[in-house]
Amino acid sequence: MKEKQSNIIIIACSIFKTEIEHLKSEGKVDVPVVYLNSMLHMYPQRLKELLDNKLKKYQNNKVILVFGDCHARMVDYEKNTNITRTHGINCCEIFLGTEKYKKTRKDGAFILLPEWAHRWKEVFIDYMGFKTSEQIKPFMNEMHKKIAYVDTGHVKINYQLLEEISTFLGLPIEIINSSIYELEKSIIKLLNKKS
Amino acid sequence: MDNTEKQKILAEFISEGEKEQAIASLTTWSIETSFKEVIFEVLEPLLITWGKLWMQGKLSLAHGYISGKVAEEFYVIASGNEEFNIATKENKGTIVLGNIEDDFHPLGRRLVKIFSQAMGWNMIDLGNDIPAEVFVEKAIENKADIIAISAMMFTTAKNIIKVRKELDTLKLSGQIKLAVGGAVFKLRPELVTEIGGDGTADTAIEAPQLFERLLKTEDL
Repeated sequence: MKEKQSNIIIIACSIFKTEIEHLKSEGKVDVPVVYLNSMLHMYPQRLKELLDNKLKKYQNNKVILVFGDCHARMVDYEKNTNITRTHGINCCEIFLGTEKYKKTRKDGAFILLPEWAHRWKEVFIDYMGFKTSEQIKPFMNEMHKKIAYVDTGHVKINYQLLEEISTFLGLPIEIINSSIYELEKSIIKLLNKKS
Repeated sequence: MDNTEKQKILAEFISEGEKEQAIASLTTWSIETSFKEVIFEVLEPLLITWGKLWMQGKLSLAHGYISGKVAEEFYVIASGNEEFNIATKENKGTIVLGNIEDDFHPLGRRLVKIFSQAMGWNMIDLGNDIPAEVFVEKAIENKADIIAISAMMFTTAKNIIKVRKELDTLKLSGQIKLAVGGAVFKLRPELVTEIGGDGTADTAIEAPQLFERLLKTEDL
């Protein structure tokens, strides 16, 4: 397997880092992984530039992208037969699987993944630009009924932190359990295809 | 104080998230001059500039949201002013608006609704995640002139093709125009025609102009 996968590289969003590193520690993923900062989600054009550069750097490799449809030309990468991408419109769907993702969205949830929970001030204050709770509460409440925190089972739940986020955003928070099965299945499928 | 100076003050209030102060200033300036002048010479030029900066990633989501709320609330105040009403309140037509199936990014759609309503369009907002057949069904039911659809990503934008097919099947293409918008169309302009759109606007505040252009367009 090692020999077969030697030319493969994974380029992934850092939102998946803890979980992919776990798969690596279990030997289920045995290829190098390069991570890009998940905050690039806020700047699709910048993400495109960085990804383009990475793909140029690894043009002689078989590349697996662990990303959603995160910038306007993401799907075009797959025209290159050396490049494949995980199935899913965004990181939430990649983690939850299509059915659970759609149900959660239809329930009016803002889906919060562990990495963003730990970086919540960066997300909502620094990047989204809402300086106070009073500014962001109406924004969140107009669009969402609740926050759904995804427990992937690999990041210890910090209940105090979740409470802090819930208070700042003015939305109730619920924890939804999700194994990393969907992510694992998606990556392994692509690794096998590339091997 | 000239209108450029007023724009600077307004920009500062919005940047600081001081929505109420921004609205109060707009109201005061309107009493000093006119609602029409403040809307067309202060508020809208600033919103157009900001819309473009936002699309370039140079302004935050909060700027986009708070400026939209300022506009929404100020247009309500201005709607009580006779002169402004005469300038903007004729019924320009009916638009069925929504985010396409699988799309849950409502901010752009909400801004389009705010600006278009203020300019005299009857907006029927269907919300997020709307299937193609519902768009067409609601357009027929409300005798809409335009279906306006928002999509943020390529994957969801592709679902708009189903609306075009539905319009074609019912021989309504040309009769009901299809306006499309969202970040993906700005970054991937060829997508507008690929998915069967009749036109797009770069920013939400330019949407009312797009709608006017579409209704003036001769059917081929």
